[in-house]
Amino acid sequence: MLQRSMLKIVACSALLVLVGFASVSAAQAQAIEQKAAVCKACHLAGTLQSTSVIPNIWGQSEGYTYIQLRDFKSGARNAQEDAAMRGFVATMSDADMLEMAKYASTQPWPKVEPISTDAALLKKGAYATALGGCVGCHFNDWKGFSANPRIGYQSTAYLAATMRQFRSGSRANSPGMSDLVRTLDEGDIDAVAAYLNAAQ
Amino acid sequence: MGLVRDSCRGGNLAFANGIQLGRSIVVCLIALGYCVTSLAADTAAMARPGSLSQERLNSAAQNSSDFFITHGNYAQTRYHPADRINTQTVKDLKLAWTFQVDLTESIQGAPIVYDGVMYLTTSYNHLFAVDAKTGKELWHYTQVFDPAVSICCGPNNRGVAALGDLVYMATLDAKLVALNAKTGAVVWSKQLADPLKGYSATAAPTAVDGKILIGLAGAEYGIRGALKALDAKTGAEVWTFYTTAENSVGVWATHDATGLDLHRDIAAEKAALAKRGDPYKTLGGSIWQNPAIDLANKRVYFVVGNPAPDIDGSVRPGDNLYTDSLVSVDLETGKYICHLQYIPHDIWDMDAVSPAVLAPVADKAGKKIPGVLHAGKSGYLYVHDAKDCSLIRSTGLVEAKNERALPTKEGVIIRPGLNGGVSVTPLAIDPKLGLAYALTNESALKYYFFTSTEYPNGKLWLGGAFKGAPEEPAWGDIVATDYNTGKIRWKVKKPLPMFGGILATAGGLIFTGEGSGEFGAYDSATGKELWSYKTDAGVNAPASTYMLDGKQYVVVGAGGNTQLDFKRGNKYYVFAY
Repeated sequence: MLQRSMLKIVACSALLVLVGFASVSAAQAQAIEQKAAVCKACHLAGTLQSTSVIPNIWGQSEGYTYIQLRDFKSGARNAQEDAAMRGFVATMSDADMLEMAKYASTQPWPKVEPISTDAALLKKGAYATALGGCVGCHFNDWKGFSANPRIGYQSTAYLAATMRQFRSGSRANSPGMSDLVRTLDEGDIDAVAAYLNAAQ
Repeated sequence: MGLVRDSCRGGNLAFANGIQLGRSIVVCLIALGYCVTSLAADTAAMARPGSLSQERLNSAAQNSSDFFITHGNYAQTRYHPADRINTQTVKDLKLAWTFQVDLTESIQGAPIVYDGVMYLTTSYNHLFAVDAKTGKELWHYTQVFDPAVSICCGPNNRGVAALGDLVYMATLDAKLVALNAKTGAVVWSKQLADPLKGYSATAAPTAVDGKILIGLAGAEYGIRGALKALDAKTGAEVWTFYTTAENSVGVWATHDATGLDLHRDIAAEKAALAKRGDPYKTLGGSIWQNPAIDLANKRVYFVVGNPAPDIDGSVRPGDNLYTDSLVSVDLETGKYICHLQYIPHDIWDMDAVSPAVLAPVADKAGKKIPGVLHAGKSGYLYVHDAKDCSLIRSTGLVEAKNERALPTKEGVIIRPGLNGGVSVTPLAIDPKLGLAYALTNESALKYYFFTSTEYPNGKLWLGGAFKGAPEEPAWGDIVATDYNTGKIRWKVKKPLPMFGGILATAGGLIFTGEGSGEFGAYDSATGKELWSYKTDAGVNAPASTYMLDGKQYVVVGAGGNTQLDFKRGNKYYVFAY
């Protein structure tokens, strides 16, 4: 009987804690929505523009987004094209970045209409990703995990631009990625971007 | 992360005495970093684990009923005494049940089973307690991870250990969690290292003498690897052995353990050492698998992975001790006893990852002595003297090309590549036959050298690249080697590179799976295939076996493999006779 009473107490306490979380999180949710509105001006929600060099960030891995925000602020990610993002993060604290990364990760990944229907190009892209062993870090269905980004169903233009930035070294915040992408030629990069844009 | 949320939906919460607290109650202690769902429709009939004493664990090698330790026993022979399923009866082995999870990704662990309960894991640190007879889920634990976790080569987990009333699992965010074996409730959780700096943990822990031993992984980032011993009851640290020595320079070896020229520029390395100092703080040295335990002499034997960065050795002058080595330490203190480095100053990620195995072996004079076996990514089976770690003999298991050639900017084809010869795949041995069974990946990779940057703090750090070499043939073998002579006894060729693990039994059988989904039983003396079953995904995990109510069961995960991109799945298959 003692055990039964104890279990009831534990269960009730757990429920009370959950109710407490719920009321706090309602206010927090409103605040983060307001903050995210700034992001959504460029990183459109609900749609994925495959021809835009601005990536989709909604539904992206939490750790990846956090590390990018952190790297913009520290200057580890400091290419010319990063100037706007560096401005946005200048006043963000570490806690702000973690909060935004978590929020973004909980949003649905938008539906995307793949822009390439060129079967030969897609096949070439699939082959190049297989030879590159990309799945070893970006995982099943290219969905990534934590610090490793989701790259499937991402914008073709963004993926191609990013691989070129890694290859040239202008994006310097992942030297390992730079090394791996250096084994791809120009044609491979376009094919891989098209394939990943269509691959989920 | 969606999987974590899914795992918290629905179900009943029940306790050992059968009290039900309603169908919809789920305990989701996400704020504390974990989630447990207990399910039990008929708790009275459910299997419940007893306490797992050290005496029971010590008897694992002789116990034909249970499978206490993920590699079978402390010597990690993966040889099990059950023989109801044997060369005569295996034809009647039938599927008993499958256990399906709501996650389709790599499975690499072998379940442990005792007192009618099976503990199995999947990628992303899902841990399930399952009734070993019926397949009914008893509870499900999910790790809720730190925000930023960096992992190479798959979100893998290689299983659990149990001791007393607790079950232990290491996590991708470099924690060790201790759970109540009956309920899945967290008893303690210990942060082992900082995941933001590239540390993770994918091996199964080893529980012995009141301690939990666990290795750290992450040497595709600039970690400093370690084997840690924690107090089993509290998680307090007992000792830490760092896998990179503070003086990591060594003897400036010009050849590897098998005598191959390493083509090192020792003068340039010495100049780099004078300029940069000892690189040990970011030198890598992952541990991806369990250590073996010599209970009589209280010694621990384990292998250490590659130095970081993987390919550019210029920023890490010296032999890079104790990367790519067999190491032995004292179980009570963690103090160094001996080591043997397979590949000094490795620039091919040709490391030591398959778990060490302890067995009596013939020395060079033919005298039986305590030995240690290991099969490397280099494709060699190494046989050591356990006393001083020295190498008695080695056997090349795979076809080699351009071994130890220097990677170039244009790329050079080398076989085996870093996904083979023998990866994290554990060996099995049959001590009666004196055979060691290995799964090999017979494939090549093209290696590129690029000058690396300084360690980019928690980011992938390679100093080069590797790429598939489609012009080279690729396949896999099951290889049986007489470890007392070094002679290969038989090979069975398979169409895909082999990755997973082997179970050997006293029934004269070995069990192993393939990336194609085949799971087979072979005559351990001859390699003749005697039975097979086609699953719906790659069988790239080692099997376990146990006896229950007069039947022998064999369990194996079919989750495929991330790194080799074998078809991913979401089931454990359990066969019975």
